[in-house]
Order: sequence, then structure tokens, then C-alpha cells
Amino acid sequence: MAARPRTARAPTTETASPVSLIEEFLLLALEDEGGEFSRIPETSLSCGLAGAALMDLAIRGRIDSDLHHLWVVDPTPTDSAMLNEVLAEISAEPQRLHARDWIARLMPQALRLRAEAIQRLCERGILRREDHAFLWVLKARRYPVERGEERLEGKRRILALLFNREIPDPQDVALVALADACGVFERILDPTTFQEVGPRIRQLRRMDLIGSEIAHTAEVMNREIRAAERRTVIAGLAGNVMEWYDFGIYGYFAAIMGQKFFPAHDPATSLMASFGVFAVGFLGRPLGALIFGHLGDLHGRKHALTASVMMMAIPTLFIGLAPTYAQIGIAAPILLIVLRLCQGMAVGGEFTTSMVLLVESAQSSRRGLVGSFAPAGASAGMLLGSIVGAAITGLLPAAASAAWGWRAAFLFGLVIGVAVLIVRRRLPPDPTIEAISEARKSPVATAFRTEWRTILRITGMMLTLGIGFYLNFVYLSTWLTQYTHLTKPVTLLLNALMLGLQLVLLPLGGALSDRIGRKAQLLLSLAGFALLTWPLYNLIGHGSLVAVLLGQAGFSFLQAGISSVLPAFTVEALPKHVRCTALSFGTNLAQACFGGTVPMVAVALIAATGYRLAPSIYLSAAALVSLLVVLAWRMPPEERLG
Amino acid sequence: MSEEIQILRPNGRLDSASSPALERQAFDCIDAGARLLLIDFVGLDYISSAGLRAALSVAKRMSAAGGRLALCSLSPQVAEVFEISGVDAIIEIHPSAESATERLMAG
Repeated sequence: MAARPRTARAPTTETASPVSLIEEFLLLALEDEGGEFSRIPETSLSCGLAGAALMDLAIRGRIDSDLHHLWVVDPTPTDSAMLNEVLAEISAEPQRLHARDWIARLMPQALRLRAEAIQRLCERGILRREDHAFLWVLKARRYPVERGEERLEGKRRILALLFNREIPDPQDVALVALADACGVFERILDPTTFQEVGPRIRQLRRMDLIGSEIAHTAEVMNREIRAAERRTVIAGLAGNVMEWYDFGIYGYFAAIMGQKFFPAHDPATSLMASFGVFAVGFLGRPLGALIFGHLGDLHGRKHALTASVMMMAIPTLFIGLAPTYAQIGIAAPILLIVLRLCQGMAVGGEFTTSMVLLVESAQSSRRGLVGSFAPAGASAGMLLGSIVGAAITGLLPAAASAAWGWRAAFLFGLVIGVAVLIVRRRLPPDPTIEAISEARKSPVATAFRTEWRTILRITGMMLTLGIGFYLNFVYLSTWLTQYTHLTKPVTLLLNALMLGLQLVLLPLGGALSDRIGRKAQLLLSLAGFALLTWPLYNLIGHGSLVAVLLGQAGFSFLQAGISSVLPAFTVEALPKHVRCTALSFGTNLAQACFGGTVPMVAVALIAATGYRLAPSIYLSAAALVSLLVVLAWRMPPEERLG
Repeated sequence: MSEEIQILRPNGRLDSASSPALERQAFDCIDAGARLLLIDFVGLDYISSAGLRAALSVAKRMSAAGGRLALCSLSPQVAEVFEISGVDAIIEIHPSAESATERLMAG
């Protein structure tokens, strides 16, 4: 018998789902432990939310699509305000676009969709907000009964679907497509099971024409974002290499420069004067932090970083060409001091602004890793400076090294600077600055008025990092030559090895913080400093090469544990409109007050106590202070990052 | 419960406008006890994602009722949509009404 078509009735799917697809998708993305959504790459999450909105509208009979286009069939508003805005946007478009074009176009609305969906889930009594986490209210994992219907929550439904051969419900097909595009299955299934059900997932996700486009769009967008991220990482890393290269070579040529610019009958006096100029560099840092922080918050990170590289490169050129005391008398040391001050200001702005740029450009799931390339760049720069310094002093005769070798080292720094400038000018336009409006007039005043607590917390946290770095990576080589039998070249080589180790450990630490959480990693590393500094110094004090190597490696691990997490942790702690200013000032204040003074304090402590391990107690005490600061630190909501 | 094959023949386009009607008709047949249902697409020249979703819903309802659903006589354009979406792997599709009837009757 042939049944004849009857008059169409209202779509039955309109009332089929009390919980919308966007809400179901968010529940899928919610981590059971910790109640966070952030483990999914941002692009995938945005694609998923945009796709969920489209599929929701399709299931509600408002839009339709085929293999080529997507269009509105019924512009009547739904019961969801967030979907209505999407529907209005599609209705207003005169041309029929492909589903993947709509996903890309709606992605910027993902944060709004997410916020509204979360609010609805909380209002429905499915989730409750606890601090920054979202927890299930219903332990039974069934949605509240609405319209006489009770449904098992999405995760359970689609997991059941993966393990049977049943014909799926269209909404579950959409949910599988969303979950697959965002990598939810990789997180909730063990690798073997994931591989087993792979063909079933691929079969199901194809069944919804919009759903199948989500994975494709997410993949394309992720590829583009990764490429942009790589460009930013290179630009951020290279700038720090350049700026800290100078730090490395100045340490190497301090004695020669002392003779050239501060001639004295007593070589020790000229060396002291030369190191005094080194310290002047630290004084410039808080000032540079304010200037470049202000620039970064007012005109964008890219502009601030281009300016800071120039401020470093030009004085580097002048130092390389500077006339000596013998040529122009007292003007020579004055010029050197002014140039070092400029370089200090440049470093003050560069390090933290590059941290901000890196973290802001990264997807939320990779902020730790991407941010860690700022300190990695600093380590690479110091290592390069040490290598160039060692190569010049090792390969050239002493006379040539003193006459022009040191100048060559500085001029090589200029070459790096020009390369960095080219890389930075090619950076894409700063997207963050478009969104900044709150502190247009005075980021510095706003930062001190609204974020002074965070600035103090950053200073408190940086205490350990600053003291740890200058104690273990700068002063330690002097300490080793004084209190062990190791010679200066050996201690410098060990130092270079540790910088090399940092290059490996920093990205690993950054990636680890993306998994275990930044605060947890900071607390572990700070506790390590508080408890292990004295035993590690005891080990190093034995003086054998193995003991020193092990001790220094221990410090490298602890240092990387903090350094790697610092960019993402501090950037996430600050609102974007004063981020550069507040972060730069807080960080550089600690470095200037506690980092730069380490050699002096260490010498004074040993002299006062007669105990050669006294500096280790200083570092342990600092770590204890930082530990308390971090312990009491409550992070702002995720939305603050923007 | 009927062992007779119920046949539905949608015409023209199966999209968001027409698929709810087809879906309802099919559901009515299933609810009335039909356990062998053939949807003959011979007069259909276009299917959208809404139509595909309707086919899936009907297949699910029939499967839950313990019956069989088959589709037949798909135009190349319509067949392409079923093939790309992979729905052809879970719904019986036959080249003609005759072959579909024969297979459904054969059990």
C-alpha cells in the first residue's frame, strides 16, 4: 500500500531536547575533576560552540543546509536568546554561505555563547558555580525532568552509542561530531578504547552535514593559529635572546671593559667600577618597565617590543664603537653608564612585554608552553653570549681580544638586533589593543590604583626567582672558585651547561603547567627551593665535579619549574588593559631590589656569619615568603584574560 | 502488527519544509504496527540535511520497533548525500522498488 503525503505538522524535534546542544556540548567539555572547561584547545572549543549553535538551529527547524550551502528556513525566534542572535545574523546575510564559512564567522561569538549557556545550565540546576569551577549538581547525571521527559546526560548517551551498533538519534550524531572535533573522546577514553571505537566515531560524525564541517574547520583554523603562534614565539624568543646576549657578553668582558673605561692602578678597582656599570643596568629596569609597560598597554605589545629592541640595539652599537678613557677621558665611562642604563631600561620592558605577547597569542590550553619561550629566550641569549665570549677570548690572542675582540662581540649583538627587528615588524597586528579601552589615558596610574595588590604579589613571587637566578646562575661560579677547587673556566662551562639544560626544561615545565595547573607547579617548585637549597649547596660544596653538576642540575629543575610557569601565571592574573605595566613593574622591582643585589648580599652574609652556606639560607627564606604569597593568591576568573 | 510493506513516496525536495511531514507519516505507519517500510525516492530530486535527519529518525524509530526500513530509487544527487554522510551504511538502500520489495519480503 502506498501512503500519500499528508499536510506537514510542526517539527517534532523542536521540543525533543530540553537541554540545548550548546549546553550539552559544554557539559561534554567539562572536566569531571576540577570542573574546568579549559583543556580543549581554544579554536576547537570556539568551532564547537559555533557549530553547536548552527546544529541546534537546524534541529529546531530554523535553518537547513546541504553539501554546499546553509540558509534560514524559518526566522521565527526560538526560546533561546543566544540562538536568536545567531539566527538573526544568518537571516541578515543576503548570500547563502557554506556551513564552514558560518562556523568561522560565528567563532568570535563563542565566548558569549559559552557564558550564556553556562548561565542557563546553572539556572536550570544542572551545574553550580564554585569559585572558578563548575560542578554537577545532579549526581545521577540525568537532566531535570522537563516537559515530562527525562534524558540521560550527553556523555553517557554518546558513550553508549559508541559501543553498540544502534541507529543514532540526530541530536546524538551532532554531539558525537562536536565531541570528536574538540578532542573530547581522547580525554575521556583510554588510548586502546579510543582506537577501537575510532571507526564508529568517524561513521557517526559524518551523519550530520554541519557536524562533519566542524572538525574540518577546527583543523584548518588550528593550523592557521599554530602558524601565527610559531611566528609570535620566534619573535618573542628572539628578542630575549638579543637582550640577554648582551648580559652574557658583558659578564665575560667586564675585566677588559674595566681597563678600557675605568683605568686605575688597582685592577680590582677598575673591575669593581665595571661591575658597578653592570649594576646600573638593573637600576634602569623598573624605569624601563614603566615606560615600555605604558607603551604596551597604550599602543600595543608589538609597538612596545619593537621600541625595546631598538633601545637595546642602538646602545649595543654605541658600546661596540665607544671611545675609551684613553681617547676621550671621563666622558668615556659616563657614556658607558648612560648606554648601560638605556639597555637596562630595554630589558625591563622587553622580558615582561614579550611574556604578555606570547601568552596572549597562545590558545588557552597552551599558554604555559608558549609563555615559557620568554625565559627560554633569555637563557638562550645568555648562553649565546657566553659562547661568543668564550670563543673570542679562547680563539684570539689576549691583546687582540682586549683591543677589538670585545667590540666584535657587541657588534654581533647588533646583527641579532636587526634580525629581531625584521621578525617583529612582520608580526600580525596586535589584536588585543583593539579591545583595550579602559586604561587608554593612563595605564600606569590605573595599574597602581587597581592592581597594586597583584603587583606586590608578583614582586613577592619573583623574590625567589630573582635571588635564585642571580645566586645560582651568576654568583655561584665565583663562589665555586672561592670555596672549591674548581677553576673559573670549569665553573663557566658548568654554568653554560645549566643554561643549556634550562633551554630543555623550560618548555617542558611550561607544557607541564598546562596539564597540572600553574599554581600547583609553582607551589611544588617553591617548596623545593625552601627545602632543598641548603642540601643542594651542601652537595655542591663537596667540590667534586659530579657533586657540583648534580647540585646545579637540581637548581636548574627548580628554577625552570618557576620560570616556565611565571609568564602564563602572571599574565592570567592581570586584566589586559594594565597587564604590561603591572607585570613589568612588579617583576623588575623584584629583580632590581633582590636580583641585582644578590652577589653583594651573599658576600656580606658569608662575611657576617663566617658560614659559607649562608647564601643558601637567604634563598630558602625567600622561597618561604614566595610560597606564602602564592598560597594566598586567588586567581581571577578565566574571562579576565579576554 | 502488519507484515505488509508500507510504501511512502515523497516528491520533489526533501528539506526542512517537507521532511517533518514525511517523518510524521512514517512514524504514524510504525505506530500503527507497520514493520516493513519502504520509502521510494523515485520522485525525489533533492535532499537537504533536514531530510537526511528525518531519514535517520525514521530508521531509529523502526529499529526500536523491531522492524525494517529500506530506501530505493535514489537519484545520483540524493545518493551522493547518503554516501558522503555514511547513512547508506546503516539504512538499507536498493536500486529499485522491485528489488527493495523482494528483499524486504525475503526477510
